[in-house]
Amino acid sequence: MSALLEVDAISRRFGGLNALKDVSFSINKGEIVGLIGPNGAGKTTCFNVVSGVMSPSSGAIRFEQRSIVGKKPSAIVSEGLVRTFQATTIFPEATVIENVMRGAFATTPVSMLGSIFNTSAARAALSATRNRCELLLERLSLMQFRQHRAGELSYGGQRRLGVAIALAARPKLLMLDEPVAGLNPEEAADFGRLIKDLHKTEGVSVLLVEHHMRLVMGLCDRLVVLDHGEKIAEGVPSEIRANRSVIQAYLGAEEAA
Amino acid sequence: MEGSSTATLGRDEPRLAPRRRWLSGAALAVALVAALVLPQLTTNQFYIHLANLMLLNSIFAVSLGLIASVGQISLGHAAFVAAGAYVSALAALSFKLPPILGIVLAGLVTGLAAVLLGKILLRLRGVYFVLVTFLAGQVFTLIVLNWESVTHGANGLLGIPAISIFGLPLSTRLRFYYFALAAFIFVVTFVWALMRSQYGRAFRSIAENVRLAESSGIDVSHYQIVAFALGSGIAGAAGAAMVHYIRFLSPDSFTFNDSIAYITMLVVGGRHTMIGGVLGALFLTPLPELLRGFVGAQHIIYGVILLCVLLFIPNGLVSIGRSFFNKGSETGTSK
Amino acid sequence: MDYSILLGQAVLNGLVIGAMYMLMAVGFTLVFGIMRVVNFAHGEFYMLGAFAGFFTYVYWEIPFVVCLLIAALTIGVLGMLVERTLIQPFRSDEMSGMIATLAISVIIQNGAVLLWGPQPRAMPDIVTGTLAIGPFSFPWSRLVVIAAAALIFTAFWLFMQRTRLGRAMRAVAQDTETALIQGIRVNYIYPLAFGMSVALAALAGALMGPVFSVSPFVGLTPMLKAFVVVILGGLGSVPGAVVGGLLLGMIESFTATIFGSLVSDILQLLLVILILLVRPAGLLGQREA
Repeated sequence: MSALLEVDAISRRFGGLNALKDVSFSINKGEIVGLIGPNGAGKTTCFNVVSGVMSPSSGAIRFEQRSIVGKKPSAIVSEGLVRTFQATTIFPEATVIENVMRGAFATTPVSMLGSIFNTSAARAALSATRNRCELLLERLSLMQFRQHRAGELSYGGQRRLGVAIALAARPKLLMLDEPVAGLNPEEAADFGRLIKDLHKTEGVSVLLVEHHMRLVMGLCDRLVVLDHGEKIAEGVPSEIRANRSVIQAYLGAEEAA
Repeated sequence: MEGSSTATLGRDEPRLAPRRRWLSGAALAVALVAALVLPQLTTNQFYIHLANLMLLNSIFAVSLGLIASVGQISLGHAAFVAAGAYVSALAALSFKLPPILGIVLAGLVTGLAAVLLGKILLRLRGVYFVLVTFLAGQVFTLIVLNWESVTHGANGLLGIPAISIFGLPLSTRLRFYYFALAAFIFVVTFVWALMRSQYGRAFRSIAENVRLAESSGIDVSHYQIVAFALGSGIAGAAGAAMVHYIRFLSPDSFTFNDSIAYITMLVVGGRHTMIGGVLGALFLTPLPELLRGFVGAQHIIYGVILLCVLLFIPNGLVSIGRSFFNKGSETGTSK
Repeated sequence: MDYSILLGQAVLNGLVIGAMYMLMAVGFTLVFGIMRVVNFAHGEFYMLGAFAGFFTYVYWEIPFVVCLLIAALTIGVLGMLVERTLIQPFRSDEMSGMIATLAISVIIQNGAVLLWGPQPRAMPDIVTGTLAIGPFSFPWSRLVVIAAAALIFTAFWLFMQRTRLGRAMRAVAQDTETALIQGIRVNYIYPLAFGMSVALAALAGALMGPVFSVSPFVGLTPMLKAFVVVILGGLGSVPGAVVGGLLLGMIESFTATIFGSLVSDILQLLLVILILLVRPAGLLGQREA
């Protein structure tokens, strides 16, 4: 069985700094994989490179066996690889339902011209998309806020909306960038359960970057550990927990701090 | 609980309550009838001329609004208007191209120029984009002023023919009025339909959060160019229409002051709505004419009004009307 | 045709214009770096400075240095008032702030036309005579402009580097939030920075009064050039403004001598577009995500 996402020896340099060096890992269909490591390990850079926000200095990235290096982020989304962001995760001025409709832009089967002329086919396509979006809002407990301005939602609500927007794009692989940052322990646990549910019901594979260890250990099938831009370990949570170099990396970071 | 199972295009909001829809429809119908009939009731050519200017300015402002809908402000809009004017005027004078075709040609040429320029300029962050459009506009004026063999420089082009429709020349103000009215209705309807469609959805996404728009599968640079090209193309075509009405064209016809005027109209009317451009044009166009007695006051008054609106009514005149009808907050265009 | 004389002339003119561009660009970029405001009225403050210099020098007949001081102070104070009343409301809205400065420029320029009329006025040179070095003869009036600009910039640089206030400004430019936490009173810094910025523009205007003439319309071109310089050097970068200003002055002087001023202007714009294609943050600009 070939992998959904293959990251093959990617490196990324900024001037003289090696943010990423020869990082390789893959994600199989149906997995929830966690990308962890101490601060500054290069996790966000890795995310940015894989999602097309920046290009790798070298190396290959394949999604469903097709190379996605050099493609615009919007094109990568069409392939089925969708990510969320830590900050500014929503369209603050639009309504909640409109936010999700925008997330569904690339997966709305309407012709652009048809939408200008408001043909019945266009109306039907948009209606179907609307229903799908409303279902997503229900899944994420946001249905009652549907007509509210997204900027008025609570922090946790905005986070959930960010996930809804991403799911609207019908991802095969969903990349979550620190999804529970800033949430209290209860909200974080809820979010973890939510991701597990969505993974089952939406049939989506997940790659997430997180610092919240308990969430990561409980949620992920597999972990990839980065430190100083390099991969230092990979395996199931129980293995990683006991891995010496991983412990060293985190302790070392603490000592230096 | 609003019944919203019917899909509203382009943006999601509760459909207007049936009563309000009826009111808007009736208001539009009345406005249309008035627009058609009123000019017949006056013999004062000045008012008809003013109406023509208002219609043309509305198109300039609305087309600028289209460019602004992706979050970019162009300070060179008047240059596209002028470019369209020169293309059509020169085509008519040198190649005897019928003005009606000249207008279409002008729109195509300026639209194409905008696509090429847009590919280069739209990569720039908002502020740089504004500065470069300003510079480009200035350089365009310089070129037009100095390329005397073609444009006759400061002397301008004279004797530009009027538009002819099926052999009938639109040589009177009244005749041109109906043409301008038709063009106005066409442009406004087109932009309205555009902003209500998936295009509008894409534009508004880009204006609100570029990064998220791109990550939602919206090809940002593509849609920015579409907005820029359509807005500039419409402006160019309207500029051509204007030049076949005024029948004289010089580098002074459309200057940076006009670019500022268009922005003023858009902001005064209401930046975030399409009708704002129309409102602003209707409100501001008569001012310089009315103030002709007070030399120099005409331009200052624009600046003062613009500043006052920015400070006190930031969402423009439309927002006054809005609060009057007590609508909730929403995005995008509305009438 | 003696090319060396032409060369010498071109260099001198390049330095003179470059000095002016530098002062304009530094002020413009200062305001953007600290307050993130694009001040479209910048050129009009230059124009006001030119008029201030003109009136004080011609009608009061006082030493030009004093005229410069008066111009800088009055317009600086005016700038501070403008910032507090008209620009501060737009702190959270960059675009609206930009449009507001556009409105202000329209008001100032047309106000000047109403007050003083559109006719350009000639201003006498502040010092006569030329300096002869070998085959070259440089008018003292031009040399004085260069020297004055250099002095003004040095004073500005020392202020930014050595004084507490200057350091506070730089802190705000780098990271406003941290500066706030450190107790820096942003509400005082902003008007001060704006006032300084337009004072620099006013000084440039006053210095150039005798070189070009004085009219309500003299502000447009220097502002245009300030934009070009700032795009080249990077919005927010003072070194970029200095290097860019002098460089642009030289480029303009030489291309104008060879090709004429129209081609020179077009070439400058093409240069800007070219650089932006390659380095969207300008030559020395701050890289913003």
